[in-house]
Amino acid sequence: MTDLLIIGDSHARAIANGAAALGLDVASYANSAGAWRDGAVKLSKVGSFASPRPRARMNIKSFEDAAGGKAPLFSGAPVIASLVFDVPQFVSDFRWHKLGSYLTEDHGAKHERLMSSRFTRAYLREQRREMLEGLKVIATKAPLLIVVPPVFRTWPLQRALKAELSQLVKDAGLALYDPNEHFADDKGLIPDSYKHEDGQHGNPAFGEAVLSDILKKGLLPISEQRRRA
Amino acid sequence: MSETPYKHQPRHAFWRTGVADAGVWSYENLWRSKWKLPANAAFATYGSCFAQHISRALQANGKPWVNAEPCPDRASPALAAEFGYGVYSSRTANIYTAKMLAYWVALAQNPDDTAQVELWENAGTFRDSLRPTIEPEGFDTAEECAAMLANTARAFRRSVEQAQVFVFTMGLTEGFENILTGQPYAMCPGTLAGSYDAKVHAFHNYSYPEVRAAMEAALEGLKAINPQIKVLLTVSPVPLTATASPDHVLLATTYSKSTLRAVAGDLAAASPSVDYFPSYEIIATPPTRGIFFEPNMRSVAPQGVKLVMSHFFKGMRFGKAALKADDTETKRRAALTAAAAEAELACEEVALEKEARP
Repeated sequence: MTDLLIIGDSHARAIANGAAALGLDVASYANSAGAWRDGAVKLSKVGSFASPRPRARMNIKSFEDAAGGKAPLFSGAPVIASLVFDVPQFVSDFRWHKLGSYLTEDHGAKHERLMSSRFTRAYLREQRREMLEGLKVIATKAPLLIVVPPVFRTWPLQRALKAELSQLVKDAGLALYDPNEHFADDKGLIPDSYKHEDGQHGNPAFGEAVLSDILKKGLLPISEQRRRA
Repeated sequence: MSETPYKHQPRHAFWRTGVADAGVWSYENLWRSKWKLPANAAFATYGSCFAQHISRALQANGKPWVNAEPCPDRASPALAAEFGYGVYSSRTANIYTAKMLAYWVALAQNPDDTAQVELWENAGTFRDSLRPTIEPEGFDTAEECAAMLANTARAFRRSVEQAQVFVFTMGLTEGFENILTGQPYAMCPGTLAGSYDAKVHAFHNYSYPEVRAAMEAALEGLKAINPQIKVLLTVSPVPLTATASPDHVLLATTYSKSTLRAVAGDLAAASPSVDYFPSYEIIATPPTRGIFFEPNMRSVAPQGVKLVMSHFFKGMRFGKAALKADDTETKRRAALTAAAAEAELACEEVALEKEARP
């Protein structure tokens, strides 16, 4: 059986690279956050993914083949998911209408159009309901850990959204790992040495550090002996 | 036979040809707008609960409807409605009385005055007394409640600034006020929120002169915000749910509706920038025999709403010329779209690089 399944958005790549560096037998599937947001790819009800796009379906098939079955997410192999935390989606949604949120630490002070804390929470919950339901089903079949993306720059709205999304994951009873709590500097930012050249994602060194920390903390049932590096 | 003023009156001026023969589904020339509006004239809509039909119909007919307090586009209609988004041009909730409209217009002119509005606390959540149910569970803190009220007052102002036509549906003459401050309430304190105190909260059934004075104050305030604004008044055909007066609710309804109808008509007659649209007559007058009401004889059935709006659009006059669009917002959104597409492409490249396999 595959040691580890890594699924999610573009942030899954660094973790997958890290897993390989640690010598784990990994199968991974990732698509852009926009594809998840627009429903171009979804968690299926049968332990894999579903998509109306031919190319995505081809990649899903490759993932299933690599993971050794049609329902890899229900196989019992540990799963790391880089999902739920597509903060730029919400930032973009809000900017379209120049919206701020009272939820932020400055109460959206610079914005002339405010959303209340409760509406903001309700909106986030609605946008993530289906995904969280899918993840909850996976969590009944396999050890599942949701990993928060690295923070390379931060501002009040981003911090507020990240905190609320984290709470949603916890409220759903899902295990959460936030690498920013372990690797960020005193400004709350992940060091540049862990930054991908695009400035938005973690690099392989970041992925390796994250996965090592997850294993060290025993957050997923993968023994040290499984490392083949 | 001598010449009389009736001699040259059109068919719609006579009951037989205008009503009895035509039938309620086929009234001709029931209403014709005073104004020829620009092709892309924008409407702001407020008022009692019937007003939300006008909001929806304008949007469904592709007419520019001012949404000065939007929520994110991806929010479901159910969630948006639950929080009072997209119902009126800002989140005022229903505005039933002329006094309340005048109050909102004054707040729009001075949003800082919202600090004087009474807030109600219940079990650790806070509601403002102008729209106590705008958030299903209330606000987390008094500060947030006040900030969000000021936010809506600013949005109300923007809606007036951005609209060519301000549509207001008059609902009731009955309301409650604070005896000490004169602040009107959206509803009787203690019904859905707050608590009723007879020493502070007073019932008031506004008379014609009071309704007219309040409407004139509101119109003056609207003009101060947007001198070009046109105001289209309607009277809700929906009867009162209950009266706090000593009268039977049927009498109270007649008093309310006839007073509002008289004020609306007189204001329209007195000003070229005010018009009256006959929602009330289409639904609630004798020829309809109540067919547009649901069995409770209060709620207006969908076919009634549809008929009202068909007269609305039939009588509304739009010219071919359009107002020049402000392309600043178009350019801003184009830049956002481009930036989002660029970011999405970058993420896609990273995600699909060897299908995220090491």
